[in-house]
Amino acid sequence: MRRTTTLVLAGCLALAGCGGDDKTDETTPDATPAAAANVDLQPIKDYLLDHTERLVTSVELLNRDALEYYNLAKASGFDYAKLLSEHREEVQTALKELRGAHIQANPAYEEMEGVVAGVPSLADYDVIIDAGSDGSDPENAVPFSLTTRAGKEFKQPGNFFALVETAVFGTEPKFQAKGVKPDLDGDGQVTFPEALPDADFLLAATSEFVNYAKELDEKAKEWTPTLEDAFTAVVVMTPTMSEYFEAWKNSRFIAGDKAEEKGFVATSRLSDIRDILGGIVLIYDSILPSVEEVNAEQAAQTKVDLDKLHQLAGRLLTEEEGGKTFTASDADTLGSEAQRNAEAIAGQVSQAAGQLNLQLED
Amino acid sequence: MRGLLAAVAVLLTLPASAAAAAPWQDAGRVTDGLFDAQTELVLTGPRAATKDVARARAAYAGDLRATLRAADRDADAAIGDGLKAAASAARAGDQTALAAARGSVRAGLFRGAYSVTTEATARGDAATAKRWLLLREYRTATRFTRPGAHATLALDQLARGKTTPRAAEQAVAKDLLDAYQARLRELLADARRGVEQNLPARRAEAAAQAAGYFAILAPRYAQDRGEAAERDASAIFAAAPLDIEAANRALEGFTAAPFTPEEAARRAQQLLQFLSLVPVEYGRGVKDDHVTRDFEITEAVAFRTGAAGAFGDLRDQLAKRDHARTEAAARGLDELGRLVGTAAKQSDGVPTHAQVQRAAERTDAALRAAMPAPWTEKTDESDYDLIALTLDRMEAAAGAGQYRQAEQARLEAYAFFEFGPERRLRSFDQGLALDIEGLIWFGAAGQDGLAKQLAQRAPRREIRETRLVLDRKLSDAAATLGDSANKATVVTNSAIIVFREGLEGVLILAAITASMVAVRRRLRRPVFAGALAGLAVSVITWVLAQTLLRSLERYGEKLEAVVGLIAIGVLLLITNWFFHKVYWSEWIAKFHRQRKRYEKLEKRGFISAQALGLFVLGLTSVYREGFETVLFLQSLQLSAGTATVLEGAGLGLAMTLAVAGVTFYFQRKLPYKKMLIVTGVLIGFVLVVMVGQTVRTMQGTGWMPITPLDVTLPYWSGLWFGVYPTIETIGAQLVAAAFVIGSYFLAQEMKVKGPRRRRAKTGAAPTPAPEPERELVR
Repeated sequence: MRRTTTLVLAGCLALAGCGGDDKTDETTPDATPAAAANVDLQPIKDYLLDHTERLVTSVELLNRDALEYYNLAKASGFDYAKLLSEHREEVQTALKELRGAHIQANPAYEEMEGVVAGVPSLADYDVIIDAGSDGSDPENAVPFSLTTRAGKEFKQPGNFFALVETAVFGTEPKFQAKGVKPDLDGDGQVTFPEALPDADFLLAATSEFVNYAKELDEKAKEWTPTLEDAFTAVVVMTPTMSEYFEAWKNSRFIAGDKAEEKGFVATSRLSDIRDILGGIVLIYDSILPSVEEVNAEQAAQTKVDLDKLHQLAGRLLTEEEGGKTFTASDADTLGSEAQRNAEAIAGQVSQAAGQLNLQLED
Repeated sequence: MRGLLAAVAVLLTLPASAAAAAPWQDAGRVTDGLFDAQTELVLTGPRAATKDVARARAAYAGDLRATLRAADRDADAAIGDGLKAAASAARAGDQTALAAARGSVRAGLFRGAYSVTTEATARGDAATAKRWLLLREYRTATRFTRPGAHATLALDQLARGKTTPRAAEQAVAKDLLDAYQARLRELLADARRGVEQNLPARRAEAAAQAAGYFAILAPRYAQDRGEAAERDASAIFAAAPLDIEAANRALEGFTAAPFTPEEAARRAQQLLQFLSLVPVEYGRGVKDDHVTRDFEITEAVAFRTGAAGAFGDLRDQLAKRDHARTEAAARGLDELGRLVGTAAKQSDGVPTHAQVQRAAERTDAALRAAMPAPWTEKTDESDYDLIALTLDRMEAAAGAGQYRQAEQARLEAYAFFEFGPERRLRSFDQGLALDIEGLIWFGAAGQDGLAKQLAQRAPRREIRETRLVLDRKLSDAAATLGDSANKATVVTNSAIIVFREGLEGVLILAAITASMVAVRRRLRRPVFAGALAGLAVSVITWVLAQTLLRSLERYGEKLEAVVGLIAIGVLLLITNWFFHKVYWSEWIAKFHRQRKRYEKLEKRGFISAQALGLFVLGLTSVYREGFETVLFLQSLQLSAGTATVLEGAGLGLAMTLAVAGVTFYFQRKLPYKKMLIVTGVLIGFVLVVMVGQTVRTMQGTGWMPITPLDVTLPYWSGLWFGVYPTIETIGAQLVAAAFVIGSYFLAQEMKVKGPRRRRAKTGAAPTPAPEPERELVR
């Protein structure tokens, strides 16, 4: 009797421990499972690691140049008027080195931005390094603050490339040395790109930049690319071309001194666009086999459209580097067509993702 | 002869070759040619541009043209006119005119492709439809929308024979119309930008393309608003220059791809939920007319914006039902926007909570009066939107280093989950519910939980990784609960819920009453009386939950915490009583033959003093489980109705009573001493588990802090033993265990060792030999 009772009790307890699990498949999209077996995503990672290493190297160089400038300013007791009058040539050289280092560092990141911004586990670095705003836009602001050697704090100042570029090219007054005109060549006028950045701020910014660049490099090494990452990278980055074209239209290369954009003065945005698209093309080539499996015609269409967009950006840059000056209207016409292409590509890739039952991230 | 045969062979293969070219490729050659012409006008001049236009015109031929013309003559005519205009513009070097022509041609191609695709789908020709579907527009990805794949998947299903042509056609039309309407709105904004920034080419192209897209939507427009309205709107779009404001007004409230009834109900629920949260968040952020917490005001603004978006989607349908109330709701939302917007811009002199509350209530009343009944019935889907919105705010706050606000948002998101989909989810997939809970709290699925990460001020990217996993689990949960369960499932799950919760109550009662044998048998009476009262109160709670207390869900966790605290308090007293008066007294009684005196003492005063406590213990032990059961069953009732749920509940109750009977019978047969030991252990165990679970509940209500421990525990440690990886929960359990053990040894000291030492000092008689156990059992 006792044995029977024990068995009944055990049975009831076992039943109690089981939850109902009555899943149905009716709401599961009727899509083809992901065909990941024949997709080699290693080239994406290799591409990324090549660029993260380049970024670290170039940002370290930037930091070294910032330190040299800092030491110059320190030797003059941070009296920038005295610095300029007594060490004009050294200051000119230092700023030239800084500008050169920035121009070298920028494409190292821009060419991989498509991957970094499109991969959810790395996307925050895009905010930190290139896309984040300052604290006036909390939703999109960078998560870090800077404290200089002198103890001055800059709370959520903006992304690193913006900080460095606006400081060394003089387009952001709050990062410039106070109380002195940055007339580097002594001709009595301040013309672009003459600038006298606040050395204390610049050193803090570039030092932190190095830290984050190294962090990104580490994270990239840990990253294992997935099909979702690759599809998300293509879908997320491709439509942002309009923002880049908008910035191109407003940048110094188009609007000259009427430019509203404080950033992007050193390199034309077209260069960024071309580089980013190069990254996107590489990623798409990796996922192409999986797209072909579910929709061969769609795969061909996307490949054609992506190549077309890449070639357009390249052609425009060639024209610009050849001396062609685009008006705002020209830039708008050309940029809008590129945006249209980009949105179409994003839509097409979304179809393939849907057919592969992949979840695209925001 | 051979030559003739060869020629025939070539002729026979020619149509096949022409048909083999994809429509998107042919159309691409047309649009590429026109864009190249536009580029050449910028870069070189009219000569190259003219050649490119000629190339584009030549590309609009063959199968592409023939198929389009057969499906939609007007589209074909528009393309032809556009190409002619492009040629003139290129020759004249007129960028603006060329841009307009490009817009017309592109729209014409999409319009024709739309007709071909939908007609092919309607007749079941999936292959043709799939080819032509590639020539289309897509929605632009935004924060709340992604380019969907509904049309593509519908055609896949049609090709596999898993759907009917009619259903596939509806899905394809809906997807495409939605995309074209979204793009039409963007084109009107583009045209406005062209005016504001003095970009004539931009304006011209956008206006021409917008007119072409409206032509795609026109039949739906006529269906919705009548032929006359459609003619007026078409005239507005066809006018040159386009009157952008008039075009926008014509589109106001029009939805080309109307929601299905389920989608509309979901959107309505979002609207009502978002609206109800505006005054809640606002109230937390102001005191009188001063802003005290910016974050809460930002939340209020976000929910108002969400409500306005949902209202925009439903406005047309609502207006058809009740125009006056819909307009009143629109005014109410505008007013709410002004009120919360003021607080977002300044800190003093802002509207009071009462003002915002009144505005929200007026708007809610107008909406509910205008809505059909199914729209006002709560569903889970809007809860997922609320959870997502609130988690977005959490991420943003963490990203800005505002971890306190992030934690507030996390708790809110959890509340939306716990009093929304979780109850049903735990009925259908307990593992998934536990995973989601773990990800929101201390970890699950190999990932740290958000509570732990926020407490440790983890960087946003780590929080993001957890959020991604959580989003997938929430998506799985939505899919799991997406269908209403069949009757057998609901009966089974109701029975299991009642049985599982009931078993916990039985365990507690068994632990408490195990020692109530022989002379203390009557102590069982107040315990069981309390248990029956707990059952009765649970039933009353169920009844009230159906009528007056729907909003009790929001306070459910606080009520749970309060009931849990009462139960712990009483159990602590009982534990103490057990060791002092039962365990060691019995031990003593065995050796000192003082049982009778002890029984007299108990009869006189002790029982009456404890009766109330035992009654309360019985009540709280059962009601604690009963309350949770009511909330679970309520959520099942939403999908299956009361009768089905009661059927399952009755079955579960019967099983519980059966087990209870077996347990109490079994309990009586234990040897007394063993039974005392078992009882003591069980009471201690129950107390420790209850303490862990109640502290965890209090952390959820914000009454206790959360200090995570860096350990990973399996999900069942919390579920069955109340063990959660925080200092507060484990600390409280250790204190409770120390109390139980301390109580045991203290009672031993007071009842046995102390008196023994005193007797040894005074030289009193030694303890007599123990009596046989069976004499103690009646």
